[in-house]
Amino acid sequence: MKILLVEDEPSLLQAIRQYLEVDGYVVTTAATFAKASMALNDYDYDCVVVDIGLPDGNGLNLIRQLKAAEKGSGLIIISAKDSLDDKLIGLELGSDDYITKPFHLPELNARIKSVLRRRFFGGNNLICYGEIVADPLSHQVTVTDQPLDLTEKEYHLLLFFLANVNRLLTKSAIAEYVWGDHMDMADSHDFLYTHIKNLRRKLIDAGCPDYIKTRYGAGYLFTTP
Amino acid sequence: MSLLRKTLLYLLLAAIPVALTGVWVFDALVNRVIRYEVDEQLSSDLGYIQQQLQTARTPLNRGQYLLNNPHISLLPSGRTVPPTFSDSTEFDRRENEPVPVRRLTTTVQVGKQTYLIVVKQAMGEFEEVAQMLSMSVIVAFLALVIFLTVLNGWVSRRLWQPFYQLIDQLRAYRLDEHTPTTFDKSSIAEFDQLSVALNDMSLTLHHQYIVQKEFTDHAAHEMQTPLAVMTTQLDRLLTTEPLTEEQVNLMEQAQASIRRLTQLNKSLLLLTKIENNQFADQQRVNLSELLDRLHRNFTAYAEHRGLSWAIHIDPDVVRLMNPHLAEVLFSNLIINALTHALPHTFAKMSLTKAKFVSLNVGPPLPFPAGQLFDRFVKNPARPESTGLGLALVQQIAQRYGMTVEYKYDERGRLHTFTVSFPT
Repeated sequence: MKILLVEDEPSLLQAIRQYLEVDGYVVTTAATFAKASMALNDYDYDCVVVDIGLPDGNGLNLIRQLKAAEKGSGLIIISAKDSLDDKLIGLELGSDDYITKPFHLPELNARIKSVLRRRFFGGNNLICYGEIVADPLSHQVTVTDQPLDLTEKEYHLLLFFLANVNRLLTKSAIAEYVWGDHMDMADSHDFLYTHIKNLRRKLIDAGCPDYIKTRYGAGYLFTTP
Repeated sequence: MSLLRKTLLYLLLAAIPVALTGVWVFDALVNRVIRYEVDEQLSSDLGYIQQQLQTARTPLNRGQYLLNNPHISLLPSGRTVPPTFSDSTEFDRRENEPVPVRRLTTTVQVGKQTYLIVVKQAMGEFEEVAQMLSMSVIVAFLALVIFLTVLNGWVSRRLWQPFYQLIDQLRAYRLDEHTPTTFDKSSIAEFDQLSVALNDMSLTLHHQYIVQKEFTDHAAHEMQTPLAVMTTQLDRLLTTEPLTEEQVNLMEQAQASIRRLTQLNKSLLLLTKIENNQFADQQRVNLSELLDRLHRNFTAYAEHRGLSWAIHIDPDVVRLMNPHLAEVLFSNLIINALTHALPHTFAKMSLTKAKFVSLNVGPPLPFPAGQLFDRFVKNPARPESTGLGLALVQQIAQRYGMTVEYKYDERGRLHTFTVSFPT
């Protein structure tokens, strides 16, 4: 899968690129509007990740260019502005997702995977890991063909883990993905712990190996034991 | 009272004493003049009689006595009377009523004879003339006052027209319009000055608004980008091996702090944007649906805290609001109730067309209730809170004319928040 990453902050660009490359993506980077525009002209990408606050041009114009070319690439907007106007314009122009800075790399990773799935498999593509099969359309999960009864939050947690297998996920990163802005709560980590504990028990009860590991007391790892 | 009425009132208040004294002075003046003229006439009559008496040296013919005016009689003694004017009344047979009369009495010495001469002049007609004059002056004055009043009203209305127009424009004034409002020019110098001043103000305000808006946008960008770099670098650091538990713990704490900072930044920006009127767009927001969604979102959290959470939602409560702000308002109130409720107690909420009420059990506030909605006021036991949640609630409620009330019931340890909607 080829990804074009447009971001003017060098350290951010570097961090995202390296994180995505571990997952086997081919990542092209562009730090300016001009370079990005050229890259979009010359090559096809499966997914384009654009920071719309570029110093030499509005990232929204890149989106217009991309949409005019009708190449069917997936599109994710990164914005530092948490303003509804930009979000609405971006989504109206046909972006698949919108993520506000700051964000966690595992979250961006999960969103890219979700966009690619929707773009190229119409969302019908099942997410499989070992005996676990998740259907993103119906939100149904089966373990060795037996349906697994998960709450909405547990389902999202599982998907987040499956998108970031073998990666250490901190509680902060998980909490932000699952609860978004509303996690300005006092005991969010305890709350998260309850959810993960429940998910873990349900998976084990359904016959999975113990995939979810606590690491160093500060994070979790989804991995085959 | 309008300026127009006030002017008229003062005009009338000034006119009435002027009219009263004016009439009185006029009347006195006219009477004085008449008396003076009559006295002069009487004196000249007397002079004429005196002259005739001296040249004729005979009594005047009787015909003149019929009228008893002038009345001439012989004074036996040599007593003299100096010329004296006096007023009296005499019965007028023709008018059949007593009439005022002015008389001049004196003695005239002709040879050895002393005559007593009384010359009279009926004053009735003159007084009628004086009254008529006074009356017509009053009528003319009243007519003038009425005319001035009407004229003043008409002129004022015309003159103040540009002023009312400016007020209408000010009423319709909106800071968040794309171009600054321009106020109409006027042919009246004062109002033109006002309009120029308002235009200057409008331009400055608009400029400041734009600067502020750009500032908040830039501030967001400038702050969120380094935060994003920190977050992603920490994420990358977490992918390196080998890590010790201590290192991961430190990174997790750093991430949690970044989250707090991010949240703080977002809340502050939101407050600034609300104050700067950047959420002018309004839609019909179905609060019932919104609360239903929030209820579903937070049910798991309430369960986690062992709370029995009951929520009653009347169907189709719709208000004109910005949807984003509506969500912030109600989710902050719900989060506030659910996080501060004592574990294993209850929380109750209800939404009706008139108000939203939230009830939870908790220990008393560690600070005065008056500070509850202030910024950065928080429970010292919960340092991770931004202390901005309720400040946002207050700010948003005010924006839409709602009132937020807080009550604490000592006995039941009940915290009650009531958001009353305007009718």
